[in-house]
Parts: sequence; C-alpha cells; structure tokens
Amino acid sequence: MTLNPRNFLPLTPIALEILVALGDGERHGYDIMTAIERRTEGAMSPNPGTLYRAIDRLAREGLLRSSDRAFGRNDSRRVFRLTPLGKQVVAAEVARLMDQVRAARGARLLKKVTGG
Amino acid sequence: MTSPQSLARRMAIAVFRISLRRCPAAFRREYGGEMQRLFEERVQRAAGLGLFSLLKVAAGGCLDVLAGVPRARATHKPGTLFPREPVMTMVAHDVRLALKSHVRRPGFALTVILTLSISVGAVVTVMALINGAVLRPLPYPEPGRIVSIVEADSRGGSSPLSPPSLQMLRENTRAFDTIAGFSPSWSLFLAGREERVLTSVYMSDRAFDLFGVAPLQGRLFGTDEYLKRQRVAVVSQSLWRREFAEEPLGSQSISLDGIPYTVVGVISDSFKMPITASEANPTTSRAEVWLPFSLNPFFEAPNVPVMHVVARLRPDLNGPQAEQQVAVAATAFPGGPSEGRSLQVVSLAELVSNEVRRSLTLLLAGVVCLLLICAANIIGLVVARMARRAGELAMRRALGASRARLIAQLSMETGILAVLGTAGGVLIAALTLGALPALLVSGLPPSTTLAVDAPVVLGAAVLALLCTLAIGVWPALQASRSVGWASNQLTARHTAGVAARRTRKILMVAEVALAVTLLMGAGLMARSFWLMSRTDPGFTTDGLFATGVGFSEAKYPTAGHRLAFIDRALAELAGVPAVSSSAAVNRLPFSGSNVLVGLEVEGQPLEDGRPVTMDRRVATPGYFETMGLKVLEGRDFGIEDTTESTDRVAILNDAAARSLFGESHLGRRVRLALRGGPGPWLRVIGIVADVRHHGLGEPIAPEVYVPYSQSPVESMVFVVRSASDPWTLASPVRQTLKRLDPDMRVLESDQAVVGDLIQESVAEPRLRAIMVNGFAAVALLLAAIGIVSIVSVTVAQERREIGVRLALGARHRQVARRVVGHAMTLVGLGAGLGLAGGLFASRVLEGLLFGVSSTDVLTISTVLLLVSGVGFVAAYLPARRIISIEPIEILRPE
Repeated sequence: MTLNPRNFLPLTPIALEILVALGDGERHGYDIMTAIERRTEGAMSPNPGTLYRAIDRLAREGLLRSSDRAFGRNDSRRVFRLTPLGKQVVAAEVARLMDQVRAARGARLLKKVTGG
Repeated sequence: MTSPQSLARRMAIAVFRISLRRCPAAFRREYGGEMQRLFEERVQRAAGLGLFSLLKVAAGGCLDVLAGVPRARATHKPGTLFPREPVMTMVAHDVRLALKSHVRRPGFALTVILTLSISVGAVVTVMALINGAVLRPLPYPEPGRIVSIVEADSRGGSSPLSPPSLQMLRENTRAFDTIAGFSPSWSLFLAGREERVLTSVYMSDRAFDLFGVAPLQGRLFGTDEYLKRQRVAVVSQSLWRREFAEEPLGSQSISLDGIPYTVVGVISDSFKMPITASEANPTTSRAEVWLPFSLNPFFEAPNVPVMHVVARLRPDLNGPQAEQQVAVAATAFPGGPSEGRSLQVVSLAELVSNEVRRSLTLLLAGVVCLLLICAANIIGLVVARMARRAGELAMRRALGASRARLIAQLSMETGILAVLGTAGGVLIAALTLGALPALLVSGLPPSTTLAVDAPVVLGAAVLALLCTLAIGVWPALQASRSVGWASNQLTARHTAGVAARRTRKILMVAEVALAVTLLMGAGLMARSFWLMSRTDPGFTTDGLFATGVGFSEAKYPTAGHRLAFIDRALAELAGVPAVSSSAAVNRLPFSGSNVLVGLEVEGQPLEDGRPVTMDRRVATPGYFETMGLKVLEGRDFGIEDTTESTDRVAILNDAAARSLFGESHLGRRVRLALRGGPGPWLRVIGIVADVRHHGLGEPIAPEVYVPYSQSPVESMVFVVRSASDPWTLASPVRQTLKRLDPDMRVLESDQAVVGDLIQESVAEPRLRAIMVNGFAAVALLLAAIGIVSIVSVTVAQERREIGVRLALGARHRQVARRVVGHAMTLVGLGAGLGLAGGLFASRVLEGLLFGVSSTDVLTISTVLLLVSGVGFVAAYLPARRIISIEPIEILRPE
C-alpha cells in the first residue's frame, strides 16, 4: 500500500519548519532549533518539549527517520533525516500553501507582495 | 561558579528533569536525553543575555513540557499492541459476543429479561396512569388558567358553592375573565324499554365557553334558557348516535326522570367534563346530557353547596392574588362562608385528580419498590457471575485489554439484557394500557386520557438508562476495578471475591430495607381495613333488602298520590312471606347519595346569618325498627303525624342533637331551609342512634329525619327485613310493587342487599389493602430469594475458608452459625433502614389510614418479627450445606 502524501496535510507550522530544516541533510535537535531560529529570524524558537513532540509524531508517521551519530570522541547525538515520504509531504504541503497564496492574491488580499 | 546565574541555571535544569518525568516512559527513553541537552543549551545561551532571559527561557521550557504531557500520553498509551478500531466496530463486536454468550446459556438471560419486563412494565403503566390522570393538562383551551373556587374548611376538606355564589363572585371580583358553574348529577334515562342511569350536568351560562365547547349539531343554550326553567338538553355525540341515529336535529326529545326534554344540540364525545370519578355515574363515567342550570332543583337555594364554580384567571394575575379578591368579595356577601371556612382558588386540574392522586402515588411507590428489589436480585446474580470470571478477566487485562475495554464488554453483556428487559416492559405497559381503561375506569377522572406519550416514553427511557447502568455498568465497574490491581489470576479471583462480597452485602441490606418499608405500609393498610370493616355502621344489616322507586310526575302529580302509593305498598309488603318488617326512606345509608339541608333552631340566633347544614332523611313510621336503629329518647314517627296535623315533627340523630342543644332536646323546635324559603317549625319528638351514612371510614354526620307523611318526596327506597337470605326478597318485592302499579319504575339496579352496599363501600380500601399487601408479599418473597442466593454464593465462595476452619477443629455447627449470624446482622441492618424508610413513607399513608396511627407499634413489631423469621430461614437453608463440607476434599490443591 502506498501512502498518499496528501493524507498528511495540512502540517502544523512546527512540523513544516522541522521538515524544511531537514531539507539539506541530517541534523540533531539543537541544530534543527537553530536552523528554525535562523530562518524565521528569531520569530520562532521552539522549546524542547514542543520540538521533540513534533519530531516524535513525524517519526511515527514515517516522515523522518532517526539514528545515532558520533560527535567527537565520547559524544553521540540523535540525528534526524527526511524519508522519501517526508520529502513528498513537504512538497505537497508547499504546493498547497502556494495555491493558497495565489488564491489570496487573486482576491487582492496581498497588494504589496512583489513577485518571488 | 556560585553566581546567581549559575545557581538559577542548575535549578532550572533540575526542574526540567522533574517535569520530564511526567512524560510517558517510552517518550522519555526515546528523547529525554536529547530534550534535556537542548534545554541546557538554550538556557546556556540565554544566560549570556542576563538573568531575566534565563528565567524566561527556563520557565517556558518547563511549562512547555508539562503542557504537552497529556498529548504525549495519548500517543504513548500502554497496551496498544493492536491498532485502535473505530468505536462502532467495537460496539457491534461486543453486541455479537454478548448475544452469543446469552444464546449459549439462555436461562440466566431469560430470567433477567422476564423479571425486568414485568417490573418495568408495572412501573411504566403506573407512570402512564399518573401522567394521564394527574399530570396531563386538562383538555381545554389554556388549561393552566382554569381554576376552581371552592369553600374550604379548616380540616383540609373542600366543597362546592351554592348556586347564588356565582352571581356574587361575578359582581365582586375582577380577577377572572370568565366565571361559570356546573353541577354533575345522575338522571334516569328512558329510551324505549331501556332504563338506565346516566351522568347529566347542569351548566350555567358561559360554562360551555369556558371549556371551549362548540356544538357539533344544533346549538347550545340561550340566555333565556339559562335563567328560566325551560326543558331543553344538549346530548353527547354517542347518545345522539344511539338514540337518533345521527339524524339532523328537529324536534327530538329525551326523557330524563320521567320528564321530556327537547334536544337542541349535540356536542362531540371528545369533550370531557372536569369531574372526579365519584361524581360520575360508575356505569358510564362520562357525562352524556347537559341541562341549563335553571333546571337544577337548588338553582336559587342560598345554602346548598351543589355548584362547582370554575373560572378563567386573567392572564396578568396568579392564584393567590385572585384568592385575595375572592376572600374580600366573600366578606361583602351576606351568604358568604361561615366561621372556619373560606373561599379558596385552586387549580381545576388538581381538584379533579385529587381523589386518585394518593392511590396512584401509593401504587407507584409499590411498583418502584418491587422494581428496586428485582434489580437488586439481578445485580446479585450478575456480580456473582462476574466474580466467577475474575480469572479470565485478569488474563485479558494482562494480554493488553484496557480497563475501559473490559468495562465496555462486560457492560454490554448484561446491559443488553437490561435494554431488552426494559423494552419488554414498555411493550407490556402499552398492552396493559390498551386493556386498562375498561378495568379501571371507575377510579379515574373522566377527563383522563391514557396513552404512552412523550412524558411516559421519556420516563421509560430514564428508567431503562438507570436499569442499564445499575445492572450492566455498575457490576462491570466493580469487577474490572478489582481485576485492575491483580497481578495474577489467583489474586484476581481473591480481590474480585472481596469486592463482590461487599456488593452482595449492600444488596442484601437494600433488599431487606425495601421489603420492610413495603411491609410496614401493607401492615398499616391491612390493619386499617380490618378496623374499618369491623366498625359498627349503626344499624343491623342482616337480612336487610332495599328497593328504590321513583314517582313520575304525570302519574303522581300530588303529594296525596305519592302518599297513597307508599301506604298501600307498605301494607302489601308486610304481607309478603318472610318479611318481618318494612319501611321506606328517601336516602339509604351507604347508597352514596345524600340530601343536604340548612337547619335553624328556634330561639338560637343564626351564625353569620346562615343555618347549620345537615343531612335530611325522609322516613316512614317503622324505619328505625326495620333498620335496627335504637330510638334513644322520645318516640318514632307514627300514624298520627300526618299532613293534616298542625304539629309538624322531626327526629334528630344523636350527633345532631348534641351539636345543636347539648341538653334537653325533646320539644325544641327547628325549621329547615327549603327551596322556597324557610319551612314550618318542626317539633323534635325523638333522638335516634347515629348511622355512618357516608361510609364506615367517614365521620358521622348530623341528620334530621322528617316523616314522609309531612314531606312526600319524589323518590323513595323501600327497606324490608327478612330472617332468611335477603336476595330471596328481590322478586316478591318487585312483583308486589308492580302489582300495585305496573308502570312504577322498579329498577333491578336499584335493588340491593344493604350488607352488600357496605361491602361495596369498603371495596376501595379493601382493594388498596390487597394491592399493597400483594406488593409486600412479592417483595418479601423476592427478598427471601435474594437472601438465599446471596448466602449460597457466600458459602460456595468461602468453601476454602470454611474448610480451613473445619480442619483446624471448628465444628460444622459453629461455622454454620457464623454464616447465619453474618446474614442476620445484614438483615437487622436492612430492617433498621427499612423501618426508618417506612416511618418516613407512612406519613404519606396517614390520610388513607383509619383508626390506626402511622407509627402503630403492633404493626411495626409484627413486620420486624416476620422479616427476621423469613430472613433466618432464608439464610439457614443454604447454610445447611456447610454440614456436607469435608475439609480434606476442599484443602486438596486445585
């Protein structure tokens, strides 16, 4: 049975941020948090509870996978990366959002938005 | 590193660790370390920005973890080995399982369903009766605003008003939109060869309007007809159909009491008068003829309370406000209520249902008690069944079934029986109600409509829900709770046993308590009936036979004609073999009919300008002797008391004499307020013993007797006494009267053995006593069965313990005594509670009791003795089984 990525939509904002943060390869929790902070210019700085609950859910749904990676000599951290399904879901969610942006623009709700 | 910041940082980390512990273990194992690390890194970073930032980040992090705990728990539930199924699938699955298990062992299921059906059916039936007769609004427009104005006495009794009060109220009150009056009566209806008694109603003007009645055919009465005596009648649809085959009205007439009336209108059978059952004729119960009030013999009588005054309240006023106006109006009116009596405004619906409300409430209490005892018995069975299955339940729990899942499934098993049982009960109730009106109609007000409608269905649904909860869910909760703590099957069975034992104790106490409460009520009713039936009616009933006759106006136009007939009839009757004495009276005791009259004593001023009201009897000489009534002072009427004699006479009963004069009665003069004003002065020539005219349970009323020769009324009752069976007189008496006048109306229904009349008069208390005692007997039986089953289960489950005791040297008898002793403690506890409940409940009975107080020691001690005796036997029978227990067999490992 192949899972339809649309079944996972819409994603919560934090879930989307996590998936996007993992877009260019595997990261550990702190890494994900700082990536989100960077991207949102500090507007979003997820607490550990929120972050890991979201990660837990995404992992259970099969959108990301975790493994332990050694950092330095005695240090190992849990790192996460997207699964193929996760990638499809991100793409589907972004497409959905784009569609909404188009719709809002068509309704002249986004006057000052310049292309891009 | 002891700066405030580092201290705060360390504390924050500690708090975060504690917060983390609230998360489910699986989640913590997976991410706990990483989360803590991330938290430390965030706090570290914030420390660089100052203490405030640090605290903010730390607090935010901890709160975030705690806030997410419920969600984390929801996704990390233990035991979710298998994916969750949709709820409906599970329910359907449970239903299938439950049905399968019941089909496999149908005995238990059938017992539960049948018991519940019968008891729920009884409760729903009584609920429908109460709904129909008491709760349902009367079938008139805006029934809530219709009130009745009655004259209430200080003892809580009430009576109708006199006809002239209507005008008084209309002139002196502004609280009502409409005021009208009516008076139910019985008339002898003559059609072809058929003679029967039907309920007729005298209606004042505006009465039809008030009840929202429109004619189906023809018209209602005109203003003239309401005020001047014109012989017109409105008849019911069914009478119109029967007598006139629904032909359009022209000049049809009907004969009532020998007088023709022109039928001017027909009204629908759906219109029902707001009268109580006792006012309606028991054979028809519904009014069939309406006459204008001007035809009522007491139309202008200022003191005869025959008019039921009804009124429609103005929408902006309530009952008490209206009552104030009525009270003021009453004082302004010379013929107002006398001392100790006042006019009251009561809801018409309440007034109509008053008669049956208490009986129905009693009935409901009885059936509810039975239902409760039945439910307790069923719960006992279910609990025992579940306790036996404790091992299986523990196993399923260990395999990952959640507690909720177990509860759902167990509840379904017995809950389905409860649902089927209550559904069966509703079905039984619907069938019973279909057959009931014919059986019970004489006890219910004619305005009653019996149906399983919304309030009844709602009540039944609540009942079904309660039964399901009590029988299905409660034992399941108990069973699953005890299983929840158990680590293996053996302890499960043990803890389940403990819980079940506690439940059984509660049930046993409850059953005994309910049975004692019911038995107390039953005992009081039985004793009260026994005392009532032994009350002396005041006369000797043996061999007494009565036959009523009515004179038609055409054939007996004058007093002389009537007098002549009575004289000749009495002479002829004296000659009938087996008749030892004969006489005649206008109203026979226990016949349910009465004539009230105002009486004034010479030389005594009227109280409030109103004469005293008392019962009037018209009797022939020899009446007292025939009835076996002692003449206490003076003499009986004699042949010398005639119309011609200038000396008009009267005889008083003892009660009247004592209330009027105190001492020296004979020779005093009294006069009666008659239709056309005060009558002539009557000399009191005798005092006779009191008669309980209105019923054995009713107080003795003051009576005045006048001789027939001086007051030849239109209807009389012949009483004859014989030494043999009085029924043998029926035919000879009838023949004798018919021989004198072939046209004389001698109704078979008017022939009666006086002793039977007395029996009939106590029929209602007897029925009530039988009913309550029947309930109590069933309750006692059920409670006994409950005790037997509970003690048997206890003995069966304590076999091991008993075996140990026996092995350690206890004697069989000692062990049995201990078991019975425990049971009796519970019986005693239940009896105590039941006694308290009974004392509380018997206050409701007080008005129904006669000659016995609601705390009658004899009744209470008899009940307690009976219950202890039955309880002992019920506990002893199963306990005997202990004798057969061999310790060796029991203690052998399982």
